[in-house]
Amino acid sequence: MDQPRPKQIFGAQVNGQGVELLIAPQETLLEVLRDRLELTGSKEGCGEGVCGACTVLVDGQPRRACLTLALEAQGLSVLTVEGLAQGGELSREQRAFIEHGAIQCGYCTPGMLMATRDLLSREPFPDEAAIRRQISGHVCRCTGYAKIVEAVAALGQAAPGEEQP
Amino acid sequence: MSLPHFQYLAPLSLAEALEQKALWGGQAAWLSGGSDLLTRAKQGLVSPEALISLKHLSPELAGLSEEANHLRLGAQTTLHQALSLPLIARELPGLAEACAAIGAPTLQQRVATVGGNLCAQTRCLHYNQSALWRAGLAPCFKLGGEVCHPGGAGADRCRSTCQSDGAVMLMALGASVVLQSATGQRTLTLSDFFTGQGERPQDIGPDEMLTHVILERPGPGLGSAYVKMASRGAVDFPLLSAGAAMRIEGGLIASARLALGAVFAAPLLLKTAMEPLLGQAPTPENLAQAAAQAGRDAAPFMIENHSTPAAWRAQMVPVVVARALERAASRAQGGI
Ligand SMILES: Cc1cc2nc3c(=O)[nH]c(=O)nc-3n(C[C@H](O)[C@H](O)[C@H](O)COP(=O)(O)OP(=O)(O)OC[C@H]3O[C@@H](n4cnc5c(N)ncnc54)[C@H](O)[C@@H]3O)c2cc1C
Repeated sequence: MDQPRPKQIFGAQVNGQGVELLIAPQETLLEVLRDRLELTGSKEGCGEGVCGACTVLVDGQPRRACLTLALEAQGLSVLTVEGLAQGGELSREQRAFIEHGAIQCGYCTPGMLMATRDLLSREPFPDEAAIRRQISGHVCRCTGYAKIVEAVAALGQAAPGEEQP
Repeated sequence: MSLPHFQYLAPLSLAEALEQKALWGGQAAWLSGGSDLLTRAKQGLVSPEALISLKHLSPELAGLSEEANHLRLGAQTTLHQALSLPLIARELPGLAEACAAIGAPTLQQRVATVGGNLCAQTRCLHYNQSALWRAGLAPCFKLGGEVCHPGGAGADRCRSTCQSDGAVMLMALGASVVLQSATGQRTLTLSDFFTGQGERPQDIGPDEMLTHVILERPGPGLGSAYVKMASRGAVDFPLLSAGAAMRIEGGLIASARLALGAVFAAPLLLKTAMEPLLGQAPTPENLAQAAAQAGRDAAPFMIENHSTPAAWRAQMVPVVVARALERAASRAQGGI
């Protein structure tokens, strides 16, 4: 059997809140988020980086949480789908997904939302090709891509400064 | 899916990292983006005692510096950074295409690095599987055993293939790599760095780190292109790919380098197929002839080690090569 190994302190800002935990070095960021912090919004689809359902933003950039050691995010800010809503108000990405029926079973949605946040932060008015490219690493088993693209495109069409995330 | 136990180290400088690796040797693995390493660790294909993270070394090892005759690209440059560098986007479009072809945008940005792409392991239909799947088969050469499942009964070596898109394009561009250890440094051309042996695809010592990629300054007249065939437009590894770099001077081909991906343990440089092009005009007929010869030269390497039949992949070699040569030639003459 595996021998007990020393744990390490993991500290980060998760959705704006400081967390500090003792974890095993091999724990993935996804395991820490889901199993220790009970932030089960981020999903494990494939566990091998293919499906994108576990995507979170680490210091503003997308990462597959299933292929990221939690310790790699030491001291950084982590944003998960739970951190999108502010003060009980859904974020503009979440509202657009709901308004456009871009959610079916919902398993890919957290990753899709984080990919959307990332795209719009770099490219506020993406065309359809850019949207499709950005979500190309995110698998929707319900194959509801068209509505997801519509939702993201609608966000991009809002006049600059009209709505802030 | 959980990872096996290991220790985690995150040195703060290159010097400290190299000292730690000298102590651990082959028991430790470098961790950059982890998108190749951690997948293999989850599948039980690798079980290092320690991972030495390169995350604090990005200030030292990420980005491009332009020197008198060459370019130095740091190993920790992420693929997204690489393809967004103005010089690469403008003068080395083939390299930008190769980086963009890897995985998907949300994998490339923070995660996958240029160094990790060059040091990623070769792949095979029978090797990159879960431990449970593999349990039904005798261990293959790459796992320390004595069979090659796609190679068949008489196989005497591993027949896994290099499926690193960046590596294939950098081979076509004639790049070199700098390998650094606590005690010294060596520079190898990619032809030397890639051993051609699936069991151990890269010539890199247990105490060494790949720190930089060295590229010739492209200059006018150089065109490059990368063409990849995969099941889906994103996420999937190549079933076949071709990287081409061509220099055209006075309307004639002064140099042409072509590397194939996903057919051999190293990016497969097809020298003889390109030789007849030298001194010729880049006409569609000349390029098609070179592509046909590339198909004949690559045929012996095609075996059933991919999810798509070898016969189909063999037929596609002249197609991807022709596309890569045509696009490289057009770019060498100022086209896009
Ligand atoms: C879903 C998915 C799809 C993918 N699709 C593609 C694809 O289409 N094309 C493709 O080419 N790749 C693909 N990959 C593989 C991988 O993402 C890329 O090869 C990537 O560039 C690896 O970089 P990394 O920084 O994540 O490497 P890591 O996983 O961190 O490292 C890879 C290997 O290199 C070693 N290493 C890392 N850095 C150094 C260094 N500086 N010096 C010496 N050794 C080092 C590590 O120890 C490890 O053995 C895919 C991966 C996933 C999960």
